Amino acid sequence: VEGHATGIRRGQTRVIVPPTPLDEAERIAELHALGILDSPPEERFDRITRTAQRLFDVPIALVSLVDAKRQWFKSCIGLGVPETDRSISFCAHALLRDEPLVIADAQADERFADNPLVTGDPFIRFYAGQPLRTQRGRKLGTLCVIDRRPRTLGTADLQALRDLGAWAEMELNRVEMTQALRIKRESEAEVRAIMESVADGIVVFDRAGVIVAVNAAAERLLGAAPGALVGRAIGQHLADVGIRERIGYHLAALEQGGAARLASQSWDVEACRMDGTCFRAEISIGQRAGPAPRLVASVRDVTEREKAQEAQARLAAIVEGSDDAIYAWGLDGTVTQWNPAAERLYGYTAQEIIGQPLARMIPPAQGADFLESFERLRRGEQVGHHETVRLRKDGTQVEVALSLAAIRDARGQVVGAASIARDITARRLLEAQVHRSLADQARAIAELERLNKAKSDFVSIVSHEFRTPLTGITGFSEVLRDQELSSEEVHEFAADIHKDAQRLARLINDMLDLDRLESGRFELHFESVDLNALIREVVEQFRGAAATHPVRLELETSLRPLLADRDKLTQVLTNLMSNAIKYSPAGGKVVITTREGEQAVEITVQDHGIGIPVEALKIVFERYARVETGAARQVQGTGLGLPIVRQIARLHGGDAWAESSPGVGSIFHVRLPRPPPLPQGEP
Amino acid sequence: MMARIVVCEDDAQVRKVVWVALRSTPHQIWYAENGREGLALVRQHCPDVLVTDVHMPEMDGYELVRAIRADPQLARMPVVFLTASAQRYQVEEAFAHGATDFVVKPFAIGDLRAKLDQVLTDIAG
Repeated sequence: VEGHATGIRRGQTRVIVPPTPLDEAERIAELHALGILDSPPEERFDRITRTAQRLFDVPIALVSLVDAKRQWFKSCIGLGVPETDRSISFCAHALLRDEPLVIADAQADERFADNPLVTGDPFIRFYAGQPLRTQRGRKLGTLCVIDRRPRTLGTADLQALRDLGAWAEMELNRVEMTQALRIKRESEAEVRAIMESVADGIVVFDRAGVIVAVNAAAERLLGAAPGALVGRAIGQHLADVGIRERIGYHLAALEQGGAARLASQSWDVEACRMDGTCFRAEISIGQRAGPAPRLVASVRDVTEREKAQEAQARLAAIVEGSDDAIYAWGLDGTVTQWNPAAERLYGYTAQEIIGQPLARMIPPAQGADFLESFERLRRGEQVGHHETVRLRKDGTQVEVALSLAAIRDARGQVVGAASIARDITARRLLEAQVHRSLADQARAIAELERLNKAKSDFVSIVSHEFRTPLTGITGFSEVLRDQELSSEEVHEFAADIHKDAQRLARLINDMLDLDRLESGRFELHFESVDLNALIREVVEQFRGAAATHPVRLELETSLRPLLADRDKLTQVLTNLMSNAIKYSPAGGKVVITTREGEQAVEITVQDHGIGIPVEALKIVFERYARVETGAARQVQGTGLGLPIVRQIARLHGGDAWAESSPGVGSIFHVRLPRPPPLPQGEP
Repeated sequence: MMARIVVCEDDAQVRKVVWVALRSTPHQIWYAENGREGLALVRQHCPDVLVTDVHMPEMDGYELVRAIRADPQLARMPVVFLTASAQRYQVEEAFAHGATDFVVKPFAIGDLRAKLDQVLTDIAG
């Protein structure tokens, strides 16, 4: 029939190993599921084997269950062992059949003749076994009777064996029922455990809307004592009429056997606690169909979530309404958020830029700075307020004040950054303007201070310059008045007084001259002047006064007459000559040159005196510069000679300047331009 | 009392006034035209008093006094400034630079003599 047999040699004997049923795996699984193997003896099985022993008058009766490798006796009369090897088992053979297996004489049956249970203890000769089936028809073992002598069974005996087998099967199936109940209880416990473990409140109610079960979370959410919710109407805990009605319709539909319409839907509702207070909740409803349908509602408190959403909405409104450009970007450098101010600042719409690289807004020159900021943000460091340049969509640059902040996920990992940028072009312009005005103001103040100092110096110098000749006048006149003097002395001191009086007069004249020259009211009297001749005249005047200083003239012979103010030009040459003589030691040569330059005549007066320090070169032509130049100060003059020279040169449209090597000497230059020749034919 | 005096003044006319003022005194006087010459004379003759102008070419009166005060042998020498200004800050500046006394130009001959006599009496005392 089913299965197959294999023969193995055991020494000189040959045992036929029982074939394995085709449903062996399922059979073993069901046997094990019963949980009966190796359980203690039970009266309900023993009473069957006792009956079988008495009924068939045999020494041995068993309820044997055939496991993978053994047969195990749930009930055993007349055998001293609880189990034997499956390979020598008679019952394993009985399993293969639907009808009882009857072996009248084992010694005469080649399948068993060499079986150790036959050749040795318990010396089996007769065997009759009825297979025991589960409800699903799997054969797990046998009820069997065994004798040590050969026997036969009549039809009535066989029927009796079947009946006893059916009895044993009933007992086995009772085991199965107990098992099933245990599993049911376990799975109910499991469901309960699952219900208790979820964070959401679970409320189970029947088609009348009466709550039949809840979990602890539901009781917590609804503020109910344990067990207090069961028996209440679900509607008492829903403030929203709409949702009550919908559940009502559904309950009615369920009652009429309608299909699920609520499944996998969820609503935001106002849920009510036992004390009547309400909270925002999200509920979703499922159903269990069947003869006593149930609805299962899971309830979640979304107060915090809604608050968070509200806060986020508020924040979003602030960002949207901000005058500063606010935009976010991910670690991959692409833009993820973009507010309207960013649109105004950079010219990109949110639609255009989101998902695009932020680098579009970074001018090449700022690339390195940006990368550095980017790296610092990635490491979670702060990038504070700074000012930089960004590119607009149209390619123009815009100066911005920028703040960057890292954006972190719930675990604190940096996932991107937010930039807040403000256009500071206007501020920059204003700053530049302020800087300019401040600089202007500083310059004006410096000029005022300079003028003030000049005035102060003027007073000091005038005081000094006036007091020096006055000392002579006062001193010599005092001597004339108080002392007895010879006529020669009287003459001499009178001459001294006269000399100092002239100094005073010259000083006053120079001051007035310079004042007029500088005032712009002075008018030159132009005439044709032979400059070389004029120079010779001036030098001649100095001949007596400066006999100690040889004068060399290097005059350009072809010099044409110059249109100039003769008197003022004389003053220029006189001042330069006396300056050269005063500043060079006796014997120091003075060289005067003239030269026809480009549309101008140039005069130089060179001395071999003490020279002028570089820092003083520019100011020797300024009024009363002398006092500040210390050692280079001359005493005999008025200190106004060079300023007068420059002023006269300038009135002629030219200029005067100096070059000098301290310790070697100085060269003073005067440049007097010739007026441009009148065009031909002009009247 | 005969004293040894160095007068340092760059203006020839003023030098001559000092000479006229002091010619009838028994003092021995050397004249210098600037601070540098004055310092040389002071070091050479170690006078009792130095009379000096403030503004002079090459080395002015202040520099001259500073050089004298820096020399241990000359440090205590009385110095009378001939100043062209009697403005308060300039007087203070003169004293700050080590002046013993000062005479303001233009001065009366009698005043210059009296000032010198005073300074000489002070050293003697």
